[in-house]
Amino acid sequence: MINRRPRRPACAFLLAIFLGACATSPQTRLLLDNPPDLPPVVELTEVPFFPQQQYHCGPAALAGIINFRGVEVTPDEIARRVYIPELQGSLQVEIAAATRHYGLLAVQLDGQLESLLRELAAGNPVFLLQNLALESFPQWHYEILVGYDLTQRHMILRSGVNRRITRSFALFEKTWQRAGHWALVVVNPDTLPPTASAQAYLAAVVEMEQVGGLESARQGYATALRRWPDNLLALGGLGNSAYALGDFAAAESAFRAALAIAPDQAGLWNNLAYALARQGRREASLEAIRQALVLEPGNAAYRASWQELSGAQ
Amino acid sequence: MKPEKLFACVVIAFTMFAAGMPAQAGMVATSQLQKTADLAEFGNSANQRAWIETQLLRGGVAPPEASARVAAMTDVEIAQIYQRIDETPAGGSAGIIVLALIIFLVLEATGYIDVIPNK
Repeated sequence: MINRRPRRPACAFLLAIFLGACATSPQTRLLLDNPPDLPPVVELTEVPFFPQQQYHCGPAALAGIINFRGVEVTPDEIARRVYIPELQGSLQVEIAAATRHYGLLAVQLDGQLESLLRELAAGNPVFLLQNLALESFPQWHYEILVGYDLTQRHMILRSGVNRRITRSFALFEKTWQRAGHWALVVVNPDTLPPTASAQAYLAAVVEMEQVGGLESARQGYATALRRWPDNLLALGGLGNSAYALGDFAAAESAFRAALAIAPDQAGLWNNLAYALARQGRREASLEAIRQALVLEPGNAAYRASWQELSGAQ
Repeated sequence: MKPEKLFACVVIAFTMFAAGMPAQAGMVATSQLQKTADLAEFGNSANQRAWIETQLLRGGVAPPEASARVAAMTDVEIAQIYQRIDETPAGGSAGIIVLALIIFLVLEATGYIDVIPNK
């Protein structure tokens, strides 16, 4: 059995308010002292709402955000991908995995309160983990952030059985901080969340590629290159996903673009060699794999590649 | 070699690569491109996947769903929860408010009782 303390009812919301008076909310203070260049009020009213059944806040919140992106799915279908009865809840990694299943990228945000507001202002609802209680007495809860009001100093959320609740910035910051500032933006692979780092965005795309979402991954790499045109990971990923989809000419040009920036990356030479071989260009392919071996003469993998490619007539 | 055979080689190379075999020919995966292509370090999560699938089954997930869910996770995600499912947050608040527990917790917070471990 999974060893875990029995889940206790969520009274802790009130307790959090009670304790809220004693603790500080540094990001809230910073935000209010230096108001960001954003609309004072944003509310994404069109984000669908699915009231949660008992303990099913993960599937309900995820259904709202996935339907918002144009994929029709019910909380029950999502529950079959993320809910663990014994834990009476859903794990964060399975939330991300389920998002990928629907062809969407789950991009992790940087933990800054201001980034949440920027995403909302750009039209992106945010999927959050909250700890409504205490670190030593956690009450984990998934919610969708759909808006903020800088004049009223509160967040607007879809939460549990409530279509719309507000929570002050100060209290929100505390419950969010107790959940490790965990927040995801769920986007189609043609969309870049404005606050996403290259690392966070590409991590989501690489994960998509790894589980076989090749078309989505290819589109995600191309999207990343719009903002970060020299990013080697995006170029390499674009080449690999194009290769896996059988578009060897596109793979070749992506690997060549990456090698123009980083000619010392043996792995790129290795993959270029395969992209050339699949186009029947044996001499060019052998020249490419030779480059990989010049850079890393002792590498057994490249030697094996050379043997395979040179033996292929 | 005919193109079909080359294709077969590449597919086999891919498969072997995914299974973490050392020193096999083939494409270097995107996640490995910026490292030295030491293929041996890749993979080796089959046992971890089996362990997590067992935990899902024990946790009440139906068998075909459990294996599909494990397959939907990346190696990094597998490593994140391997042998740590118990400590990993599982969001699932029911939102029920119980007065007795509130009193209990307020007492705890104000130092009258001490029943909550690991504070």
